Amino acid sequence: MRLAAAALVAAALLALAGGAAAGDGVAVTIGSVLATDAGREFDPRLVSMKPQFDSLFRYSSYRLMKQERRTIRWGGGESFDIPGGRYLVVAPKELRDSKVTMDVMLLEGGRPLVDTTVALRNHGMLLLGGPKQQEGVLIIAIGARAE
Amino acid sequence: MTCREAEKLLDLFLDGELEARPMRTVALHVTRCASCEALLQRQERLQDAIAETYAEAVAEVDFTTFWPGVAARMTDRRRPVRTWLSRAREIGGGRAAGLAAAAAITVLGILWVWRVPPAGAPVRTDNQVRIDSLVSESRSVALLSEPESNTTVIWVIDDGAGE
Repeated sequence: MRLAAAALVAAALLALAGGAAAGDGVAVTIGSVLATDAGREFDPRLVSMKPQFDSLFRYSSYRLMKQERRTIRWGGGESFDIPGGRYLVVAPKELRDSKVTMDVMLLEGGRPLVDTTVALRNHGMLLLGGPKQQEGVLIIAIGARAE
Repeated sequence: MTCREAEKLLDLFLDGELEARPMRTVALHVTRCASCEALLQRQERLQDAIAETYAEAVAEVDFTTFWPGVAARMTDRRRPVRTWLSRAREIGGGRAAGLAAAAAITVLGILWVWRVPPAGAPVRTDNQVRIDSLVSESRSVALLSEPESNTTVIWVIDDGAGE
């Protein structure tokens, strides 16, 4: 009986510790990737995304230009500098059914290239691409992780 | 939003302390106002310089005596635990305490194994996204999807017509 009680206490403590972290906010990672047809470089830091890139795009070279990770509180917003004088505003709203709902706006030259509300699977990734950058295009990977 | 209104909010904007709506408004203003963008870049440089100075100051702190100090304190802290265990044994609870500790470790171990996938195991990603709304000022927007991992791409086809 004592054994079961101790096990239950241990499990409850662990659950409590996990629950406390859930309300802190969402860790958002923004990666800006330059995709070009010049050369055949594949940045080793992007290796986890290679299957998706190979399936979705036909560029021969991918290079991670910038990566930034911040924790954003629910209901707040953060602005990320994106190469080419662009800004990406990310505003997480809620975590429901293991999906992170957030507003995402990509701004360039005073106009929103994209202004969207998405529900992204927790620990998942959304790609935002197309803006011209140097001799190629920019692909922005947006990852969200709420524990 | 006027420049004067934006200037007042730039500090909060840099620190990410604005609510979502003013954050978007300030960001929108900054991308189309050269003077506010220059001001923001100056503030960013200042913040970077402060952060670098702070990092340098922290790097100069001597931590060589830190760990020996912690180790000495840990040695001191072990004594009450031993006393507690000895007292538990004295009153006949030693076996129960040992069993309870073993049970707790077992539970933690099971949960750890359950939470951490074995090394080398393929991790299946699922990037499923639901798009509730999408507005764009670019010429056209395409949605692409990769079925294996459900990765979605919002692709803007932009020729800079709005500039």
